[in-house]
Amino acid sequence: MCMKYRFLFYFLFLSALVSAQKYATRSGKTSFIGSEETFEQIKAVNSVSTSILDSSSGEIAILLFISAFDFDIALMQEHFNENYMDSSKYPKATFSGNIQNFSFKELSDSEKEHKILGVLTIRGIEKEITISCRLKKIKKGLSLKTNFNVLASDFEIKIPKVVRNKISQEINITAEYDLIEKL
Amino acid sequence: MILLKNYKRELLSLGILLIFSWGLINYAYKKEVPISEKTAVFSGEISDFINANITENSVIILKASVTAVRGKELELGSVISVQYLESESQSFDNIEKGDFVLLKGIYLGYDDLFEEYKLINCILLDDE
Repeated sequence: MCMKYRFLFYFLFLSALVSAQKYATRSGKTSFIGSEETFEQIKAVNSVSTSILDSSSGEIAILLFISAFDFDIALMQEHFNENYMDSSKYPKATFSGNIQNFSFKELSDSEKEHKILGVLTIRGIEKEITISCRLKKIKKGLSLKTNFNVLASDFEIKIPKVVRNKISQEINITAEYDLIEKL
Repeated sequence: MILLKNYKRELLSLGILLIFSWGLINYAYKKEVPISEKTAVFSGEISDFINANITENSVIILKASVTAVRGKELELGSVISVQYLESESQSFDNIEKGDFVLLKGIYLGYDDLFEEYKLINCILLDDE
């Protein structure tokens, strides 16, 4: 095999190997509950969260658009975007981290607990966090589920006194992503 | 009639309170305007859309070719990711790669992870 073709072969082989190591989703579900069980619970779902996982290193990146959080009540959504999240100024929230002791080969059909160390960025404020997640193998990829709490004050989300008994300082976040092999 | 005369002030207050409450509930629970009724800030093709510097969360109308169909997502011109409402599944079901579509949706912003523009809540429009 001449040098030119050998180089091309290696290039194509490496490209295929690199692309096979990435798993991604454009329709991850991220939801939050921002209040106690009250008459109208403050909760919303973002069904268009994107995420990419590098299975060789366990590195994961998540991006979601704040204005894509869907509330049952339109007025609540309006207040969330304008008064609390300032989504026109800070349209995205991101997370980048590393799944500890991650090995795609060791994943199975049953969920296994892992830790993720990373940086959560909301309203332009970065916060280092450690969260637990459950991983399992699914058809053509893996499923990632996590549930954790963050403090509104850590991201300078100001809650007016008048609604302080309705909106909790601790926001409960749930994420469910089916990451499929990225071609 | 006597009751009406005796409690005139109380009944009036109750009426005002009811009207105020009705207005307040209507305001708080107002329905979101459907995408079909929202005014689009942009209408055109992909090249114009990219150069137009459109504000995030704006409604746009786009005419483009479908470069990929990924389950319940479309890709337009290899640079735009389109997601549609569950209620619109039927009209999007027949779309195939290579088709030209005219659609209306909310431009969320640029997705740095996938390096593409993101449209959500899209509906198909009749291209006449």
